[in-house]
Amino acid sequence: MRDAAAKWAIAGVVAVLLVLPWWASSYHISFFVSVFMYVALAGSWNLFSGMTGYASLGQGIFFGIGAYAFAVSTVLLKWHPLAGFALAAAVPAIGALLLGSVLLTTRIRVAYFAIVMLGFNEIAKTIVANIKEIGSSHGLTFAPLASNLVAYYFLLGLAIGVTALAYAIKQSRWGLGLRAILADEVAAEVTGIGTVAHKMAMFVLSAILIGLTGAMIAWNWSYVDPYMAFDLAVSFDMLVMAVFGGVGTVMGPVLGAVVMSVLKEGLSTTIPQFHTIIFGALVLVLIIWCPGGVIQVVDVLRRRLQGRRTRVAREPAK
Amino acid sequence: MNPNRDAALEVGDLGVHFGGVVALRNLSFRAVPGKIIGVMGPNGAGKTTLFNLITGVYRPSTGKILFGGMPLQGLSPSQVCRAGVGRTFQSGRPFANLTALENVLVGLYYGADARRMRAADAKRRAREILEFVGLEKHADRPVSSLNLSERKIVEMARAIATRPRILLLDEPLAGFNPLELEPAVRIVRRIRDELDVTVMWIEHIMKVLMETCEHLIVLDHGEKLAEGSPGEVAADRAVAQAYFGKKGATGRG
Repeated sequence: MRDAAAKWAIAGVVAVLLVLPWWASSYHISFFVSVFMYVALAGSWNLFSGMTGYASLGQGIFFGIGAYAFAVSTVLLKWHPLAGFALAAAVPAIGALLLGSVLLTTRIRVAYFAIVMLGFNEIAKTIVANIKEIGSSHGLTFAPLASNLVAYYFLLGLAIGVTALAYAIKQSRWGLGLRAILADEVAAEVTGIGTVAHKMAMFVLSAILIGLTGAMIAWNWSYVDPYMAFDLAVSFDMLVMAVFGGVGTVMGPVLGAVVMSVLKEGLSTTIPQFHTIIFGALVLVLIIWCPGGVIQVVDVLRRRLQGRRTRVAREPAK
Repeated sequence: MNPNRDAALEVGDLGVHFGGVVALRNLSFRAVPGKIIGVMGPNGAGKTTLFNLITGVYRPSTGKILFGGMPLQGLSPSQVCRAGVGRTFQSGRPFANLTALENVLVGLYYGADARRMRAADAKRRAREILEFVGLEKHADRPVSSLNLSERKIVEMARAIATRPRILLLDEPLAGFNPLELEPAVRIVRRIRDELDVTVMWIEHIMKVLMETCEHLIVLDHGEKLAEGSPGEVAADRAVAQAYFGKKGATGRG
């Protein structure tokens, strides 16, 4: 019953989002574009880091790589945008394979992995800023997007796709293997799980999805430069939103991204000078108060409500 | 059913050092299929190191490990598992965030001979294995809510689920209270008797090893001190010296 209700609620929300652009103002469209972007990013971060326990502080490197792959192919090489998106998936995938074959094949400590990824993001930023052929620090400018509805529907699809993928993986044997890896990697390995293959596959998948998001966002911004493409805020935002919502869960990153985007938007318009401070404080309070994230709060409330209901239901029987 | 059921584990001239520290040297033995083989020795003798070498957690510096004639050295731990070598850990390392049933399912889905099993069949088989070790009533409880002995039994069930032909148990009874010992020993016996799995067993409770094992290997300071039936090992002077010191040995001799 409850699962069915949840499914109908999700279907309802998706249906509303599909038709929303007919009424929404362009301000609202661009707000939703950013919400979908964060859902896709937090969900993609969660696919690898949340499900394997290897927190990445620099997963945004694939956002930048995807953005640049798209820019180079469509602006410089004059490819069709679809081919551009294909490249924006392929290049981050290859990047993730290369990085993963260095970082994920040996037993690197999780903390080192996090920092090394942050380092790679900075290296990528500096390298890109010094290549004249791709615009060095000035970046590249796109022919403007005909309508921001392209970004709206593309990112809505991506956000739904990432979430559906997380759900499918969690239900599968592969997902059970990932939970085992999360619990104890050595024990997982001696139980027959090819831990390197599992981690690599999720890392590549996460990179592809983040790369596609980066490509679409760059196009929507109509230009890309190294400092926005490889902005550390991208890496941190997706991490914080996933953690805020509930690491390793399916709906956690969605909730985290939605709640935090709304907070961010609300705070930055009402108190523009201090919004980042208040934002940071709110995140701290929630994470200390509720390490399982927003989804844990939801679960606790739901269980309390259910508890009350079953108690009420049982009483007459006694 | 299992073509290599009678595969023997053969270790030849096995050694490993970490920097300048020699953890194990010149170790050779043959684990006869179908036996319960005890591995004993004082702390730091190299018992767990031996298991880590066999299962691919450590790479040997010298020597070879053959299982049914197939070399195991150089394989990853997951490949060793799929080759039919199961193991448990001294401290007990089941997947704490999973239920007992899910722990066993991981073994079934990823272990040796893990052909695509239908989910319903796997669940039924997992319950049978939990029944085999006497934990069926805890099947759906998260392992983190079980006590130490139950957690270690879950780990044993998980290892059984990988369909090993040889099972390496690293102090499965450590931390058990006296009442829990006997049922656990019975499970180990039944793993060999009913599931036809060779068992290698590290334990500090000598009485248990002497009574249960058909063959004993004694390690000390990374070397093999003695090997043989429990009777032979008990009569061995070097073993007595290692365990009781010179005085005890001469006093007895």
